[in-house]
Parts: sequence; structure tokens; C-alpha cells
Amino acid sequence: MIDTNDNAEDERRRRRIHRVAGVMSFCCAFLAIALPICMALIWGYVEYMLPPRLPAHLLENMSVWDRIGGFLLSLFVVGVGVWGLSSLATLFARFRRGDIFDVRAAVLLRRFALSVLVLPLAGLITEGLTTAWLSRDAAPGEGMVALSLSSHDLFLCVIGVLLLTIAWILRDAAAINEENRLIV
Amino acid sequence: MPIVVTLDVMLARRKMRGKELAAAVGISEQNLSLLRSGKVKGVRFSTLQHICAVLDCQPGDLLHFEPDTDEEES
Repeated sequence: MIDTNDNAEDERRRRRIHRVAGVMSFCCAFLAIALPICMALIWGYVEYMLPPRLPAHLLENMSVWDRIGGFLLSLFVVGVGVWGLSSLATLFARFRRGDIFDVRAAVLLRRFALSVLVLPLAGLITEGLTTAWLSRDAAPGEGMVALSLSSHDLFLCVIGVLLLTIAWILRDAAAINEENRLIV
Repeated sequence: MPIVVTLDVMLARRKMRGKELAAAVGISEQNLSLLRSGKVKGVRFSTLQHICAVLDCQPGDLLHFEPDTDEEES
């Protein structure tokens, strides 16, 4: 005899997953699109919105080429963020469709974890390149390359490693699950 | 794959369709299709038991071992 209460509860859970995953997928996709636009706005209106991690004195009297170069260099770190967010959006879209426990979901989580892990390094490289670009016209001996690491960056690395480990375990578990599904 | 599934032969002998067998055994048509095509990794004894009961046959009527030539030489 089928227990209708269990079926109703399962249906409620599925609808909740569908709803939450849909919202999260939309938010991640929106952020992935908004990130480069925001960075363009920051570099366009640098007098009002300081680009992160850059010494304030380099941002005075910026030419158009300074802004364009700064924006293009920032696309390196923005690209890592967009890649991670789009992987997350795809992951939530799969959850919304009901594909939750499979290898592909674990791979997408791994991509997001990698983006979190690589983000501090990308930020470091971008910061160095950007400060070099902005100080390229400085007098001899006054050019600079700034590199900075904060506890925030180290925290991101730790989180990235933890997420990577979880994704690795989930991938192997999903592979075992798929193998077991082929036992009828 | 050395294990060959000859379920189709028994289904033809008993003049039964796959859909009917799946419903009688209690597995999905998709799983039965995978079993018929030999794409499964394994069969539970309970599933084998039910199939044999429905088709009135022995497990040997459903599964056949054909060793690979490489295995024979080794």
C-alpha cells in the first residue's frame, strides 16, 4: 500500500528544491553577468569608486588609456569569478531539473571550488600588473608593482581547498551511485 | 562482456512482452531494457528469482557465459 503522506512530503521537498535552486541559479547567473559590468563602471568612475587593492595615489589623474588598461587587466580576476559563478549557476540549474546526485554536479562544484581557490592568486597577479600599468609613465625609479596578501585571501584559499575536497568526495560517491544504479 | 543475457529468448518462448515482465517482476521498463541489452553491471538475486518465477525458467536459461579469447589463452 502506498503511503500518501510520504509521497506528499517528497513532493513538497521536490518543489522546495525546485524553487530554491531556481532562485540561486538566477542569482548566480545575474552576478556572473553583473561582475564585468560593475568592474567597467568602477574603472569608468574611478574618482567615486576605488578599484580594490590599488594604492589611492595611482588613481589620481587617470587617462582614458589608464582606465581601459586597468579594466582589461581586471578582467583576469573577473574572468575567474565569472567562471566560478557560471559553474554554480549551471549546478543550481541541474538541481532545479532534479539532477542532484551525479558526477556532473560534482564536477561543477569542483569548478566553483577551483575558482575560489584561484581567486586570491588571480587578484595578486592583477594587482601587480595593474600597478605596473598605472605607474608606467612615472619618473625613473618611481614605477611600482604592488602585491598584497591579506587574511581574507588566505581564508578564501582554505575555503577553496575544503570545497575542492568535498567536490572530490561527491564525485567518487556519485560514480559509485551510478555504478549501483546499473545493478538491477 | 563474457556474460551474455539471453532474456529475449525466454521472453519469445513465453510469448511475453518486456513491459509485462517488468510490471510482473517489479522493475522499471528502463532497467529491464538495460538488462536485455546486457548493459547492466549486475543482477540482484531477488530480481533473478522473480524473473525465473514469472518466466518459469532457470537462471541458466537467462545468462550464458562466453569467455573472451584473451581470457582463454591466459
